[in-house]
Amino acid sequence: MTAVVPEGRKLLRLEVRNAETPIERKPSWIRTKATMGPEYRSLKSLVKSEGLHTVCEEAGCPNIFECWEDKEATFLIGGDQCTRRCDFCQIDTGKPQPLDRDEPRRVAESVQTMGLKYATITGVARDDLPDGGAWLYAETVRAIHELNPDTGVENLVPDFNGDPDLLAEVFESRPEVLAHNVETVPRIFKRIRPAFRYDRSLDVLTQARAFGLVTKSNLILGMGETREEVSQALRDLHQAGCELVTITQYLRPSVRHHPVERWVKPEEFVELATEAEEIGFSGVLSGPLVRSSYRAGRLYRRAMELRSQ
Amino acid sequence: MSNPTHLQYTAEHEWIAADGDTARVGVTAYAADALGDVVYVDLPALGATVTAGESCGELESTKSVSDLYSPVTGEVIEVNEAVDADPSLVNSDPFGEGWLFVVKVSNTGELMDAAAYDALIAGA
Repeated sequence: MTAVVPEGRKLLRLEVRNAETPIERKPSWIRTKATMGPEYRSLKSLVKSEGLHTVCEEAGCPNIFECWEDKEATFLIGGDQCTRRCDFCQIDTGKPQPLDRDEPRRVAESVQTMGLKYATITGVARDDLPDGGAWLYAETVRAIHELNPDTGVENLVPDFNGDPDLLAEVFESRPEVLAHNVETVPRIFKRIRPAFRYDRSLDVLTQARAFGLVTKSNLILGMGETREEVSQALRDLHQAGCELVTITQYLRPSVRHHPVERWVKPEEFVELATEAEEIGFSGVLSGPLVRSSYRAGRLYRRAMELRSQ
Repeated sequence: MSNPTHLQYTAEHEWIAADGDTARVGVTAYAADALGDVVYVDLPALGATVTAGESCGELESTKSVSDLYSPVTGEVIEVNEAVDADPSLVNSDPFGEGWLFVVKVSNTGELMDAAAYDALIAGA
């Protein structure tokens, strides 16, 4: 086994330990049709020619063929190097390029070219920047809104270390949905997301809700959490002011990443969706290949309809 | 990587290298890149009949399991043991060591040349 990762940095001891468990075979219900249709190819061209990134590509999402063929894609801002490392995430960890202040314009223009009615944005952590990237995250939403007045924007953000001023700067851009993912449960949180904290992430959602934004979060199952812990996390999220939630299956990006501890059956995802609805979330998407940004526009519209009933 | 000109291609992103009435089959670099890191392959069995346009196996990557389609109809006369043992060859050398199987061809499906395939994947 190589002592360096593809992006060139040395392996962490954690990664060496992870690699002792071979890659798991997937269960029969995890399949996608890898059809690279005309919209997929056209979008791939656009992203490349604009010098942009998508989380779809950088995080290796299996839904890419389905979503891109429907002209739905999620931009990844701040480059493709993240300053943090979570044990489930495929995005490279490394030293980012200097801040690209032109990126918001190019994202806004791509949204316009694609004719999107709902744009989903996420990005990497930028601890190298004094503001943690807050300006970038805010400006991207502003730029999209300015150029595309009828387009809804969903912004999935890091925690900016919970700093209220930086968060306010991000919230002031008023995305239609402000998402911040807790991903896992307190007992294993530090092992999985050492640069984040469960309570701090809940607080980001609380602050966003207090600001008047629609909030959203995500859980990744199969990394060692128990069913009861998932239920508790759903209650914690709702309590913290989270309105929309996605519940998903962990897919292991490489042998250096956390092993898959369990494959959650489709029936259990259905049960969890019912449970989340009963807890009071106004929008829930739950399934093995559901992801935070998956069919986000539809989930938002459905939640708004329910809210107004 | 530009697509090798001595090969022919399908819209499903396979390549074939025809040699008389036999054809070696693989997937293109574009397909391998889209699939992600291939971790397991299920290739058709030696002696099995494959049908053009139909699924004959699976390529499992870290993110999903995808069907492997045959570009031709015929009998499988050779299977790449090396890829079975080291699936990463599909990613590292899709047109070379990452070949998948060889067929004694009785019928081909729709094929295109490298220039047409280049145009297809360029988003044209």
